[in-house]
Amino acid sequence: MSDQDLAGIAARALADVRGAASLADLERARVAHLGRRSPLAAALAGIGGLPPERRGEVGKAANAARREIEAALAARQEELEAEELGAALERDVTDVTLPGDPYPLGALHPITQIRQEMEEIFLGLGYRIADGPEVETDWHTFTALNTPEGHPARSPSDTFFLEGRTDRLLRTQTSTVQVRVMETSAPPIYVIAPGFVYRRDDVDATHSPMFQQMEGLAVDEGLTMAHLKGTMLHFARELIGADREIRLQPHFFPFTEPSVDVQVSWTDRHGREGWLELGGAGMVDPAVLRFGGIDPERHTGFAFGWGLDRMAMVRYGVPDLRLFYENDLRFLEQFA
Amino acid sequence: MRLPLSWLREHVDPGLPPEELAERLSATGTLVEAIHHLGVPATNGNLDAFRVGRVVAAEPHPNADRLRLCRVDLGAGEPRQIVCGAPNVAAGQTVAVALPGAVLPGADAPLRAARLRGAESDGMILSAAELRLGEDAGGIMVLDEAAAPGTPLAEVLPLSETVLELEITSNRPDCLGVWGLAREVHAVTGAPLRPLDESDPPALGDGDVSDHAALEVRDPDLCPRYMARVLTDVRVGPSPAWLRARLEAAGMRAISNVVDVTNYVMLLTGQPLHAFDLDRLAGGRVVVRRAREGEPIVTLDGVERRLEPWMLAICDAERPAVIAGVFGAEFAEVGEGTTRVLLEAATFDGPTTLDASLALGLRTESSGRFEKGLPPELPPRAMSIACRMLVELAGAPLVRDVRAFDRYAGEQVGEGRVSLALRLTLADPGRTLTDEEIETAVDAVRAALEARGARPRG
Repeated sequence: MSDQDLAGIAARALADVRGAASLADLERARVAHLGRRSPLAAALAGIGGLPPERRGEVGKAANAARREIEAALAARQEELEAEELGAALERDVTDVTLPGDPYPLGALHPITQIRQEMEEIFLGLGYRIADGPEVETDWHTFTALNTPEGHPARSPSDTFFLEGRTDRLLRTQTSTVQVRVMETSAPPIYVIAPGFVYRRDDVDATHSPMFQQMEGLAVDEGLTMAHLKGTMLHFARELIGADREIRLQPHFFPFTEPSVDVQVSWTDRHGREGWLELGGAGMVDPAVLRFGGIDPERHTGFAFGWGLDRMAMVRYGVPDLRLFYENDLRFLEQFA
Repeated sequence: MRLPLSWLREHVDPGLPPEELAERLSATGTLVEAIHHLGVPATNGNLDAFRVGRVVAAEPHPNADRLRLCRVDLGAGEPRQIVCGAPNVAAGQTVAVALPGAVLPGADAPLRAARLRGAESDGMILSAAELRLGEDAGGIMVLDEAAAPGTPLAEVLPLSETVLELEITSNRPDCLGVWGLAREVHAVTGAPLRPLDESDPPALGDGDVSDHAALEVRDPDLCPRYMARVLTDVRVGPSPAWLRARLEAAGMRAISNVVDVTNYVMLLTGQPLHAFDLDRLAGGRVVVRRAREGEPIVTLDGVERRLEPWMLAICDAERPAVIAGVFGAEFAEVGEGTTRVLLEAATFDGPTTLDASLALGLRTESSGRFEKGLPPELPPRAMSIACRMLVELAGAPLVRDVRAFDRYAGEQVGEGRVSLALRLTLADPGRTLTDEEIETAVDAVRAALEARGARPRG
C-alpha cells in the first residue's frame, strides 16, 4: 500500500461524494467509500501486514483520507438537503388567495326546532318544562293512567319491556311524566314534557318504533274544558297561523274524560280546506288525579299530547317520517 | 267496524245522506274513516234500469251455437228480445235483467242495445257475479218465481249498499254491533229506534236439552256466563242472498246458513256465538275448563296448536273443541253432514282471551270483542235472535227447556242505575248546560235502554 494508492482512493471517493446529485446517490457513495467493503477499509485492515516502521505513516495517511471523505460527505449532505428543501418549497408554494376549506356548521334538527318553538309558546303561558325517565315502571305508564292490568294497551306486542321484566319498559307515551309531576308537586301545576317514546311499530312512512311527543298537564282549582279549548286555540294560532280555528272532536283515552281529538283548520297545497288532527286532549280523569295524590273534589285538570314528528311533517310538508331519522345531510341542511 | 246502511235502517232511519250521517257520527266520537259504495251504482235513478224479468222463450241463435235468443217479459209492453250466452238459460225462468242505460258495477259506460251476430239484444240477463252478489259467473242468476216481471230488482235483491267504515274506540265495545250503532245514531239524530225482537222461537224439537247434551263449567272465574241450546234436524246449506250480501258488506265471508247466522248475530249484537256439530262432541258433553299443558288442538285453519294451562278451552268429554272466544277446532265444526247443532253464547274473561289470541297469533272477530270485556247480559239476547233465525233459515226445531243450560257465575245485574256527576258535567264543558239540555240527552239514553227491554229508574 503506497501513499499514491491512498491518494487515489481518496480522490475517487471525494469525486463521487461531490458529484452525488441526490441524498440517495450520496448514501450510495458513503457505502462504497467508507463501508466495510470499501478500498479504504481494506487499506486500514492491511496496515497490520506492513513492516512496523511503515505502519504509523500509512495509518496516519489512511485516517486523514477517511476524515477528508467524511467532511466532504457532511458538506455535500448539507448542500443536497438545502437543495431539496428549496425544491420542496418551490413545489409547495401556497396560494393565499384561494378560498379556505369550508368548516361545516351544525344546525338544529327540524324536530328540535319545532320542539323549541312549542316550548316557547307554553313557557309564555307560564308553563314549566318537566322531564322523566325513558325507562319507566308499568305503574307510571299504565296503572296510574287508568289502564289496569289486562287492558289491551298493555300488550307486549305494542310495548318494549326490559328483558325478563314485566314491570320495566320503555315508556310508550310522555303521559308518564304527568304522573311523576303529580306525585312530586302540588297544584297549581302547569307543565309540558317533551321527550322520546317507544312502541313496537314497524317502520313505515308514518310509523317509527321511536318518536317524540310533547305532553301537557294543567291541574288547578276550577279548570274546565273552556280552559283546555282556549289553550289549544292559542297554541294552534301561535304555531301555525293567527287565522286558524280549532275544533274538538270526541274521542277516547283511558286517562282523560271527556277526551277529544284536537283539529286545526288547514288548507293544503291544492287549496282544499279541511281539518287536520294535531293531537289528543281531555279533562284529566278523576281516577288519574287520585292516583297522582290529588283530590279530584277540589282540583280539576286538563292534559294534552302532541306528536312532535307529526307536527314537523305537517309544518314542513315532509311526507315520510323516516326522513327525520336517516340523518341525510342533504335533507337536514334544508332546515338549517 | 263496517256498518251497511241498509242494515242500520232496519233499526233506525235517520233519513240523512251518508255524508251527513258520517259527519254527525264523527262529531260525537264515532269516527267515520271511509264511506264505501258497493254493488250497482245507486245514483241518477240507475237502480230503475234493473228489473225482474221472465223468460217467455229461449230459442237457438241462428248464427251462433252458444248464444240464445230470449224473449223476456218485463211486465209492461211487449216482451223484449235479449241475446244470452249463459248455458243455463231456459224458458219459464225468472231472471235479473239490466235494461239499456243501466250502469253495471265496475262499468265505465252504460249498457246499450246491441246487435249480436245479427240479432237485436235489448238488454242483458245477469249472473250473480255481474251484480257483485256472488262469485258464480258460470250462468245467469235464477230468481224466486214469486217476483212479478217488471218489479224493480232492488226490491228483490240487495243490489246496492253503502257502508260506513267506523273507528270504534276501545271504551265502546257496544258499538261493535249494528244494534249498538243504531242506538248511537238514535242518540245523535233523534230518529226513532225500533226495538229488537228478542223473543224465542217455539221449541218443537224432540226431547229435552238434557237428553241431547251435558254441560259443565269448571272454571267460572274465566267464564262468567255460559249458555247453550240445541237444535235438531238442521239442514245445512247456503244462506239466502240478502244474508250473504250483508255479511260480505260488513266484511265477512258467507260460509253456510248455520255459520252465517252466528256471524250475522255477532255483527248485529256484538256478542260472538259458536255453533258445534253436537254429534261430533264426544259424550255429547261440553266442558268449560282450563287447558292442560301442551294439549293439542287442530284449529279451523288446519294448524295444530299447543295450549297452555292458563288458556280456557271449550272441550268435549275428551279434548278441546274451541279456544274459548278465539277460534274453533276442525273436528267439531258445523259442516254439510251436520244435523244436530249445539249453539253457544257465553262471556269469557277479556284479558285471558286477549293473552290467548296473542300467544297463539290468532286475532279474530270474536277475540277482538271478548278482549274488550262484554257484559254477561248479552248472551241471552243474541241466543234468542240466533235461534229464531236458525229455525227460519235452517229448518231447525229448537229443543225444549231452553233455560236448562245457562251457567251464570256472577250476581245478575238486572236493572241498571247510572248516576250522573252533575258537577263534572257542568264544569267540563266550561259553560252551564240547561236542565232541558241535560234531560234531552238523558232521554235519548233512556229511550235506548227501554227499547232493549231494561227499565231504567230515576
